[in-house]
Amino acid sequence: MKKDTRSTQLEAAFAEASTTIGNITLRPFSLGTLNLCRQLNLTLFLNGETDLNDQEKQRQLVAFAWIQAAPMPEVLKAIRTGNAADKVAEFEFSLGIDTIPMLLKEVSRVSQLASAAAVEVVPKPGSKADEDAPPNS
Amino acid sequence: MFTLARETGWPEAFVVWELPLPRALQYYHCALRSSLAWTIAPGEPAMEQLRRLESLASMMDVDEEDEA
Repeated sequence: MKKDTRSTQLEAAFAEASTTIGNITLRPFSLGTLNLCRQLNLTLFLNGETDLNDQEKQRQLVAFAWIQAAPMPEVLKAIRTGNAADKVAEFEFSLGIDTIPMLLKEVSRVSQLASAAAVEVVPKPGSKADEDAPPNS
Repeated sequence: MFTLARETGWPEAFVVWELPLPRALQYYHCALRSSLAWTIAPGEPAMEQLRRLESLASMMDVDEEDEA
């Protein structure tokens, strides 16, 4: 029996690991990645904002690659100290010319896996939204 | 993150930095279901599922009234 696309993507998620793109190795896209994307305002990865000029798109992709490829302590320290932009600029020089298109492809792939796993909670009929919420003190 | 750490006992660093997001979302879905939450895939098909669930629930209400 042929599996549907969603099931295939859900199962593929269990084969996720570090990915090598060009000359860089990316850590898996995780909850922490999302958090860092928010801190660096990488809207391309947060709400799929594609209406960006090419320069901004490239800035966000390179920043994303730096978050995922540079040593974690270095990334966290640079973000904590407000030094991330300089580190990203340094990192950009180490990227191969064909890396950006491959990065886009990788982001799209991970985004499809995450979309397949995303769910919403729906209220049960007759229940109130704050029924189980603790009382205000 | 808190839900996953509580349900699995995995350390925060693993959940935040190492667990791939697509897998984290699947485990989160499991946690929601085990707490008896109703979940649906987001988007247009979700609204259809919701309508189906609501009509199913309304049929169950009728059965309960019949029994009473």
